[in-house]
Amino acid sequence: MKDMAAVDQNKDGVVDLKSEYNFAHAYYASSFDKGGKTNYYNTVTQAFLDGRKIIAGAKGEKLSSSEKAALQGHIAVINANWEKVIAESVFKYAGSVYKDIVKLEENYSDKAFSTYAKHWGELKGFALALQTGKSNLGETAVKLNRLTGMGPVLMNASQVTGVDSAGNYIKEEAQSWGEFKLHMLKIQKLMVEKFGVKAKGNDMLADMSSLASKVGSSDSAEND
Amino acid sequence: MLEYIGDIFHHFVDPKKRIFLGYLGLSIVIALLWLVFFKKKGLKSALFKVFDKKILLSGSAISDYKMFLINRVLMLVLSPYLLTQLAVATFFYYSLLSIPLSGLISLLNDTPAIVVAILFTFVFFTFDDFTKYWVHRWMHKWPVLWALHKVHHSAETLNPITVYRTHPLEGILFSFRGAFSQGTVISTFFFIFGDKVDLVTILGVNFLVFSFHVAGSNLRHSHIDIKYWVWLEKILISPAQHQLHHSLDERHYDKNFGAALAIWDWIFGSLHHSEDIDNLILGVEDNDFDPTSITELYLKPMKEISDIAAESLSSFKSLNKIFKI
Ligand SMILES: [Zn+2]
Ligand SMILES: [Zn+2]
Repeated sequence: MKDMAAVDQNKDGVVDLKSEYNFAHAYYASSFDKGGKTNYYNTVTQAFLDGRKIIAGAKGEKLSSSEKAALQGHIAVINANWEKVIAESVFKYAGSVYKDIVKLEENYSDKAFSTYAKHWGELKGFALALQTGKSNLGETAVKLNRLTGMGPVLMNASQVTGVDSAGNYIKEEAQSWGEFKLHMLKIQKLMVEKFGVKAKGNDMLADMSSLASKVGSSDSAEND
Repeated sequence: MLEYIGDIFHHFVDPKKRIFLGYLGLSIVIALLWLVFFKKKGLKSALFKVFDKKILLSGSAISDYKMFLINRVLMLVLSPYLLTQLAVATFFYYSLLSIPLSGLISLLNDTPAIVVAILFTFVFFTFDDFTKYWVHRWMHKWPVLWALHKVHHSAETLNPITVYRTHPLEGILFSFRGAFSQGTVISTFFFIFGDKVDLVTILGVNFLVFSFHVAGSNLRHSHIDIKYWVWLEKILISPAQHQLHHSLDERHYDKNFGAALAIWDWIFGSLHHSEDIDNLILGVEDNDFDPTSITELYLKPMKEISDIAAESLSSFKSLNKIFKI
């Protein structure tokens, strides 16, 4: 199944939410796999099925230590791939935000701004989701939160930077658009370095790397 | 194994490379035309001249061919560890983004993509050529670098494969130069023009590089001394001008460092026009250096560099004694 939220597999006219619907991250997983560089969806589903087989096979009895180990293995696979799927989403939306800023810099429209705000919201959501896993991301989380910010940079280059004691948002002249774009690139870099994302939707440096390969490599022992 | 052999000889079928068979073929045609129409030779004697055994199978030429093989293997092993222009470009791009220049950038938004592509192609080629000029000049000026570059100049006969008569350490320096010059131009253009940046190509090759090779770049390292008009030799380096760069005659020392363009030599005072000399003597003045010995070609420069290092270290120590630092 590739990039489909809902499929009426048994054609009974309704989508069964238990067997015919892809929820949230599973939907994203399948959409990233479309690029052919990753196989998150099948890997995770298979690990779930294999894990369930082990549990069902025990028929209510205690698992043997080898069964336990195998089960832990499947759990690790699910964990790692799930996390990667979320990191891929962070990567993708950081790219969307970057593109939105470029558009806004060229000319402003309310529609472009609301798209920008929506994409920033998606980015923030996934960035937070990444931090709710069982492992503490530590320094990576600190970086990610600083780069994303508490709100998108607004047209007058101000940004929400905190909340005061009365619960009001504090807005400050925060950073230039150029800097915020740079932050988006740094988020993408962080996702590659820390989570090894591969699907790389909206890779903002893809154009540059394809141009670099077009000019050819600079390594050769030749005396012109 | 077969794959490796393919990799080693890949340059012969890669239009990005000078020794691409198509360019070599064209160079032969250009050489014959030159000999027949300008040197008034018969076709047969022109053919004998082009495929002169004394040139193509000289001891010096044989060592070129051996170095080609060894260097290709070495570079295949080394290249994954070398700095790429993409790494430099990414680094520069990050630093550029922190400069607040958006006002200027939006002014340039209306530049048509074709203009951006042509501009990029010219700047890319010119800047690359400019850095080649300076690195080459330094290779001659600094003793440590000359110890390496001397390997190239030790050739006593020239043929297209002589471009690979390059010490591997010099090759590594060249790859740094390429990564730097190409990476800075790519990132600057991306910063200013975004994804409009493209390269104008023929057969997938920068069209200026393509033109340079089609125009007989292989003849620079050959015994066919094609000369250009005086005015053109101030803009483009003629084969005869580069051959003169290889001359043993002291009058020709430190002249014509340019790769494709002669303008750098012209501007910075190292230009030398081609001359009517029939048998230019090529090589380096170095009695204990055998230009046909592969071991000497690879190891002698290392020894020379370590000698220079030891010497400067000892003079530094004696300075220390004098000044009691
Ligand atoms: Zn040369
Ligand atoms: Zn030289």
